[in-house]
Amino acid sequence: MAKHRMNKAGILTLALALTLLLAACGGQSAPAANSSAAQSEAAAAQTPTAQNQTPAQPDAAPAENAAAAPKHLNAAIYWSAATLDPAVDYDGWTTCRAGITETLVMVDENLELVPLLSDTWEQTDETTWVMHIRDGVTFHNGKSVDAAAVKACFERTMEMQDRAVTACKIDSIEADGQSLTIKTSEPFGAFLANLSEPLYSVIDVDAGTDPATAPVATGPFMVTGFKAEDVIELAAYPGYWNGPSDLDTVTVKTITDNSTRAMALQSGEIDIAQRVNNNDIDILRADPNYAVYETAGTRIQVLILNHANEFLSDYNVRKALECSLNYEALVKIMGGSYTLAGAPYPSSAPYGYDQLDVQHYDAAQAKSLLAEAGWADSDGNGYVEKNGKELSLTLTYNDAAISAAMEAVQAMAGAVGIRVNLDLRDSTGDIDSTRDFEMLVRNWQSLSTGDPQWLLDTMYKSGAMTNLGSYSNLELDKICDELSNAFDFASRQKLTVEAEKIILADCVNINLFGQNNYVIASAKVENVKPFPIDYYFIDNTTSITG
Amino acid sequence: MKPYIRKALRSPQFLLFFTLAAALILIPVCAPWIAPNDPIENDYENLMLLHSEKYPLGTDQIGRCILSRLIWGGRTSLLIVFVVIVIAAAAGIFLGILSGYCGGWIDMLITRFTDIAVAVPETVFVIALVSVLGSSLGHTILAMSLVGWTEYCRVTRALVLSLKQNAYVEEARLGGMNEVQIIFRMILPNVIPYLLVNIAQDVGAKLLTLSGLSLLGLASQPPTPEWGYMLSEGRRFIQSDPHLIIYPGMTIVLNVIVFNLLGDSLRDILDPRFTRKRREWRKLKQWQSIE
Repeated sequence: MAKHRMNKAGILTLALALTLLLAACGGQSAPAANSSAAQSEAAAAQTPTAQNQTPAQPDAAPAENAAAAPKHLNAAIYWSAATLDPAVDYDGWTTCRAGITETLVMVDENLELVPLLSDTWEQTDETTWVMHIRDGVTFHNGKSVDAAAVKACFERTMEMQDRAVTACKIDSIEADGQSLTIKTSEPFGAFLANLSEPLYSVIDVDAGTDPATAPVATGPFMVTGFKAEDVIELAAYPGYWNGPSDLDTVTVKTITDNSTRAMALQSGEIDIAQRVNNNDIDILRADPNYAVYETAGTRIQVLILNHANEFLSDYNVRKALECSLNYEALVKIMGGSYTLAGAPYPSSAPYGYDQLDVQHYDAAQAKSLLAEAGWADSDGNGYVEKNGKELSLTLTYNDAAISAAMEAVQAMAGAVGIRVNLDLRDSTGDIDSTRDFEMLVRNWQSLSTGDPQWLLDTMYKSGAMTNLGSYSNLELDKICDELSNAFDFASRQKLTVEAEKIILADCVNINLFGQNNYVIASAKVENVKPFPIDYYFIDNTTSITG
Repeated sequence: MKPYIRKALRSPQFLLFFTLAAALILIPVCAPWIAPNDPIENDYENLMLLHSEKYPLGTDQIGRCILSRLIWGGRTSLLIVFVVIVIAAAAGIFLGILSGYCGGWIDMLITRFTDIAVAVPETVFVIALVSVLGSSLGHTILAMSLVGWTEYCRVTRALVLSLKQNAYVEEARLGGMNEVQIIFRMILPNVIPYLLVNIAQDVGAKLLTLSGLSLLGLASQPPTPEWGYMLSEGRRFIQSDPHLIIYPGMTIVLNVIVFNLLGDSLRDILDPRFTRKRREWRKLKQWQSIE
């Protein structure tokens, strides 16, 4: 009897699960309308208080503005931040996305370095840079920004984080009025570009608030509430130097899952987001209620090869693996917003992509390379062996969104006789210290500050911190050093191309595919700018209608 | 045994579900002959196809034939389920007979141990064990078998307790049979038919557990086709290409329903009291509707 009841319960549960599935697929729009209505109510409830506070700045709220409905934007970021302190880990990237903090210089839509908090600068000798801090910039508490405030902020950041010391090789800082003099410990050509890293965001360190939850910075939005790894509540800063935002309030939510973020857009829970799964982009692109903004990105999915591995230390094996992959098919599998990579830097960057022998598919060459190195399929199982050992490699990755492409890599390598085992993990962060891997997929920001040196210094130079595959080539190291001493663009460009040639000739890693950057917004959102570098997202011009 | 078989042949319900279940088992067994394509061959020219002559149910995100993957996937899914059930049933029956037949402290020990095992939530335990040992088919089978034996043990023990009171068991003992002979000739043949019901229904339950594990990426390893894993892979495309999850999802549901209903119809045949009661209940209902 009991069994019978259980059985019925089983079928009931099944039916319930199916119903829920159907309900989840079909009934999104109804609750969405409710939730957005609830949100605008909440926003309406909030604004009177905000307006009560404004009389302190009499010219900030003209009469017609007060009558208009408050403008609220719901944004979603894919990266969760534990704090809002730019000096902690990569949390500055989050505050930069949310328009809270700003750096002295920034990289614009065309990958060019443009002034931000510093309007002019001058290099007085090889190691000395004089940056003029823009006049009229104020912190969110009204205090004006001078060189001394920037100095205090940078010194705090360098104390808290080693990356801040190494990225710009800062030796000493001096402040005099609006002029900030920075001396580097050695000549460093990437100094200015690296200063755009959100790590060097300027906050008021004497504001008396905890930067981890309420940083007082210079951006168009100021923090009114923060819940770690969940939500940031912002209000427009009326005193913003470059013209205050048209929005009244902004809610920035952390939604780490790509599909969930797309669904949140569809339900109207959020108005704007970066990065959703490719198949969802196509759906949103077809819908007139959404706009997809796309630009060539600088991120590349790299298959890092461990040169300490007994098989991968052999050039022929690395090259065979490189030739076995059908890159065009991989891009097709990943979908429309992915692009061919084949080189350390994307083809959209000005670093000689056309002059390079980029990684490409050639199965016949892959087979002959393996045969040349003595690999043969002696037991007829389809995989090659040498000295009784099968050529078998484990591919570790942590992004389920690329699973399909990884299975294709497995099949492609298998076709030339290399057995690939897939290992999907929650996180591969521990590999940074253990280096216990054979092949590892990482999503690299190849032009993190718009300058190529960062990638070479941190990923390819001998003994570099994130040179996980332990690759070493003295010639390349020399180029890295020369880059530090090269200050004009033409010579930096030439050195970078040379470095790329070495990297490709050695077949250091496999650049699987590049990724376009895209911002997806509801059609109501105005002035959306897709930046090649994804830590720029919303700014003072972003607005919403209706 | 004979009257059961006669009864089974007269039950259209049983015959129907038996045929369906046999078909569901035979299809994967004959996979090499009936699958239209190689289940792990990629066709990069035809990704996410909905339907074509070459690919009747379309292709998945990396251009593999979905129908062929479903047919071959049955091998993995059903094989695991049957191996788990054989191990779990064998262990459960052995412990159940030991416990019920011997009684005393052995019975108490086994019963308490079973109680403890029952108290462990099955899915959570399996997930925990597979996560610790690493995901592979062998570990999945081990983990599922470790928690799957309890029901068989309890049912067997209860059956043995009532069977051993029967006069024919006493007579067999007086007739000179030893304990082992009694167990194998008198007890076991009477226990097995009842457990068939459990086994048939367990196929459905185990299949769901396995699919859940695969969905979490804990059971089969790519590129081995497996229903739960296909579901997991297709999940991302639920909006753009729902056929990627509809086919494997329907396959799992179909299998679960067929084996569950097969178990039901088996019970109707094996348990005369149960059917009589149901008939009476039906009659009562009819009377009520007439009134």
